[in-house]
Amino acid sequence: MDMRNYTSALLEQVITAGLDEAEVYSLHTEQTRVSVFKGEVDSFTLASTGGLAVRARSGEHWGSAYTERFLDADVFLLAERLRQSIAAVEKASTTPLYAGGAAYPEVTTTEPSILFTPAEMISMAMEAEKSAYACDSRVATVQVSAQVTTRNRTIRNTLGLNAEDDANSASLRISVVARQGTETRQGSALRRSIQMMDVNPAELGQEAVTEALSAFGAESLPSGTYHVLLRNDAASMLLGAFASVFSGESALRKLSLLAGRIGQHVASPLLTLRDDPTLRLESGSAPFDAEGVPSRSKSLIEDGVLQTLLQNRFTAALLGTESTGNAARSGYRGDLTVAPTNLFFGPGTNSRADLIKELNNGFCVTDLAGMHAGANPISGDFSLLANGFLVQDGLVTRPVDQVTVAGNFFDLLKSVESAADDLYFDGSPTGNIGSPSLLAGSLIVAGN
Amino acid sequence: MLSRPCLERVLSAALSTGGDFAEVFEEERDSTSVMMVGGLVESAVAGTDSGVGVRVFAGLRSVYAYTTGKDEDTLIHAALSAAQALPGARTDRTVSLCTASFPGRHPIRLYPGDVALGRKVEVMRRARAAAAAYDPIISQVRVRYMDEDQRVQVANTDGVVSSDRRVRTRLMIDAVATWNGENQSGFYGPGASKGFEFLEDLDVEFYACEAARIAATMARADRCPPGRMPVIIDNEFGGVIFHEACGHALEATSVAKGNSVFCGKLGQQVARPIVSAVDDGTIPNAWGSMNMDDEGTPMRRNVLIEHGVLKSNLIDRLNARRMAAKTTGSSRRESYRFAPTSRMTNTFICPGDLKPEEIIADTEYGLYAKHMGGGSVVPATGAFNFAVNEGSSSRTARLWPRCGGLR
Repeated sequence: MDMRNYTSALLEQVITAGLDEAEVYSLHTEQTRVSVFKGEVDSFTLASTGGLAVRARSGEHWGSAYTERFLDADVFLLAERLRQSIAAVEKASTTPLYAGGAAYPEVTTTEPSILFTPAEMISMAMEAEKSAYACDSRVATVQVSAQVTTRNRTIRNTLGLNAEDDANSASLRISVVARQGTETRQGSALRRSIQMMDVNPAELGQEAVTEALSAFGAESLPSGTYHVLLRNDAASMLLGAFASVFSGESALRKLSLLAGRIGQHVASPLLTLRDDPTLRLESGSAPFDAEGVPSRSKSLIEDGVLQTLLQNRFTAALLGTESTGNAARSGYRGDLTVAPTNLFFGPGTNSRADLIKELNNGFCVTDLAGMHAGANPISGDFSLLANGFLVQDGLVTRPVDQVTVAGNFFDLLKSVESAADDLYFDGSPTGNIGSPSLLAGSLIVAGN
Repeated sequence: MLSRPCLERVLSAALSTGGDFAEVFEEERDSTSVMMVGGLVESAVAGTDSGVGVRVFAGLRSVYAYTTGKDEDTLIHAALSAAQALPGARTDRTVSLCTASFPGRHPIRLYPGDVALGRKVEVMRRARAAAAAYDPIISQVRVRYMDEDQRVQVANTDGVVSSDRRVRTRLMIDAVATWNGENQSGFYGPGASKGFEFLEDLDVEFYACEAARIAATMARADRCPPGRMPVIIDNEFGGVIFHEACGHALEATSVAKGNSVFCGKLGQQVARPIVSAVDDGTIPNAWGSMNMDDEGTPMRRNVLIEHGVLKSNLIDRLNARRMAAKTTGSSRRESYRFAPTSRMTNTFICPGDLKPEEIIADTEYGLYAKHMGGGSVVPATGAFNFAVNEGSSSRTARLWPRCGGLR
C-alpha cells in the first residue's frame, strides 16, 4: 500500500463527496526499545506503526477522522465519518487550510550517530547497569532502558500544501532502588537525543545511584511556610503541569487566567519564558507545525510581561491575532490543537550552588509527584508530594521526604527571585518543557 | 480478523529460533470522541485503530514486535524479527490452534456504531445545560463523550485461540466556577462497559449538577490547613486510596522484580483486620470488566487482602514465570502497541458494619474527603499521594478547597 497514492485517493474522494477542502496528516514511526535487568536483556520491542488523520471543511464547519487501517473501503468510511463529524461540530471557522509557499527554517532533527543498533543499545544498557551496581553495595535493584526512534511526517491538502519531514531520537534511562536497613530510596537519570552523541553509560549509572543514596535518612519537615528552591527538573515538571495556561486554545475556552492579559505583568521582572522549535535535536523541534506553518522562536514572557499566548491558525483567527506556529497533534489520533514545541524558562548566570546560598534557609525541591491529580491549570493551584533537601545557613543539611508543597502557579511566577544557569529539558515528545533551577517565593509545606 | 491458518504460520515463525512460547494479539478498535465546550461541539472524531502484537518468550526473556500492517508478509516479518532478537537454535515448529470460548457476561444493547452521532450529542447537551444552570458562578462547562468498540483475538502456542469484544461508554463533565477572581473546578465522569444504553438509563442531569456543585462549593470555600490529621474518605472513588497505596504495589509488574513494599508478604498481616480488598473483572458491565484478559485467560474475582492478610497478587504470564506462580486473569494492554502486564480491573474495599455518619461523629477533628481525584504511587517505597477534589472539616460546616496531595 503506497501512502502517497492512498492519500491522493482519499483527498479526491472527500472532494467528490462534496466537501470544500481537505487535509491529510500522516505519520510513520519505527522504534526499537530494549531493557536490561540483572545482566540479561529483559525486554525487547520492535515497532512499526503508521496512520493518518484527515480533516475537511464544508461551508463553515470542520470535521475529522483517523485510521490505522488502509483497506480500499476505508476511503469511503473515512469520508462518511468526516461527513457525520462536520454535521455535529458547531464551532464555526472560515479559516482556510494553509496553502504553503513560505520557506521553512533549517532545523536539525536527524542525527545518524544516534541511530544505535540493537546490539549497541544492549551494550550501553548493560554498562550503565553494571556501573550502578558497582557504585555501592546498598544498590538493590537497577532497571535500564534504551530507545531509538525514527519518524516520518507528511501533511498534504487540497490547497497544494505538501510538507514532509523526518526526525530521529534516542534515549538511555536508568532507575535504581537502594536499601539501607528498612529504608528504601529511588534515584534515576536520563540522557536523550543530543546528549546521546557523547553518552557515558557508566556516568549515568553513578548519577542515579548518587541520587538514591543522597535520600537516605530523609525525614519530613515541620508544617509551615518555607522559602523554596525548585531544582531544574522539578521546576520543569511544574511548568509542564501548567503549560496549558499559555495556550490560546485554553484562553478561548475560558480555561486560562492569562486570557486577555497580553501586555500585563504576570511574572517577576527576572523571568523569561520562550518557545523555540529551532533548537538542534531537541524533542520539540521541527521546521513546520501540524498545520504546515513554518516554525519560529518566540518570547511568551519578557521582563515579566506577557508577550503572547501560543496559537495555531484557528485559535489565532478567533482571537484576532497571528499563528505562532504552535499547531500540534498528538499523533494521528489526536485532534488538531495547540501545544508548546520546546517551552522553557530562561536560564540566569548564577550556578545552582549560588542559588542555594541565596536561599540561605528553606526547602530545595528535587522531585514532585501527583501532577496529574494535584495540579489544576484552571485555578493555578497545586498540592504535590515533594522530596528534596533542607537548606540551613546556605548549606544543604539533610534530605527531606513525605511532605506536600502547596501553592498557586500564577503567584509562583510573580515570586521568582533568581534563575540558575542549569537549563534542563524533560524531553517529552508532546511538548518539550525546560527550566533552570529557580529560587521562588514561599510555599506551604505540610509535613509533621 | 486474521484467519486460523495465518495465525498458525505467524506463531510458527515466532518460534523459529527456539523460543518456548509465542502469542499473537490482534486488535481492531472503533472509537468516537466528542468534545463540547461552552455549549458548542468543538470536535467529533471517529477513528479505527488496527494492529497486531507478536510476543515471544525464551525462559524469562521476552521480545515484542507490533505493527499496524496486517498482511501476512508484514506479520511474518515482525514475528521473525522478534524471534531473531532471541538468539537460539533454528527450530521448525508447527502450531495447531483450537478455539476456546467464554460466556459473555457483559451484554450490550446498543452498539455505539449503530447509534447516530446526533443522539450522543443530545445527551451531552442535557449534561451541559444542567451544569451551566446549577449556580450563577459557574463560568464554563466542558462535556466529553467517548465510546469504543474493541475486538480482540489472542492466539498462542499453548494451542488456544480466543476472542473478546469490549464496548465502553463514558461521559465526562468538567465545570468551572469563578469567584473573587479565582477559578475552581468540579468533575464527574460516569462510565461502564456498556453501549449507548448506559447513557439512556443514566440520570445525566444528576451527575452534571454534581460536577457543578463541587466547583461552586470549592470556589466559595476556605483553604485547608496543612498538617497531619485523621482523614475520612467517602465511598465510590474513595477507593482510589487503595488503588494507589496498595493496588499498584500488588501488580506483579512491581512485585516480580522486587520493586514493591509487598514483596515476600503473602500470608502476612499487612493491614488492620477490618480491611478486605478485592479486584474483580467479572462484575457485569462494570468499567473494568472483560470476558477474558488480554492474554486470553478468563476473568475472575481475586481476593487481594482478607481481614488484613495479604492473599494474592495480580499476575500475568511473564511475571508468573518470574514469580513461579499462577496467572490471575489480570493481564491488560493499553492497546496492541504494548505487551501485556498485570493491571487492576474493578478494585474495591469490602464494606464493614458502621454507617458513614457514625465514622464522622466519632472523629474529633480531621478532613472529610468527599470526592477524590486521582493520584500516584512509587511501588518500591510505598510513597503515595492522591488529590482531594472536595473536602470539608469534620467538625464545622466550613469547606477547605485546596486539599490536594494528601499522603
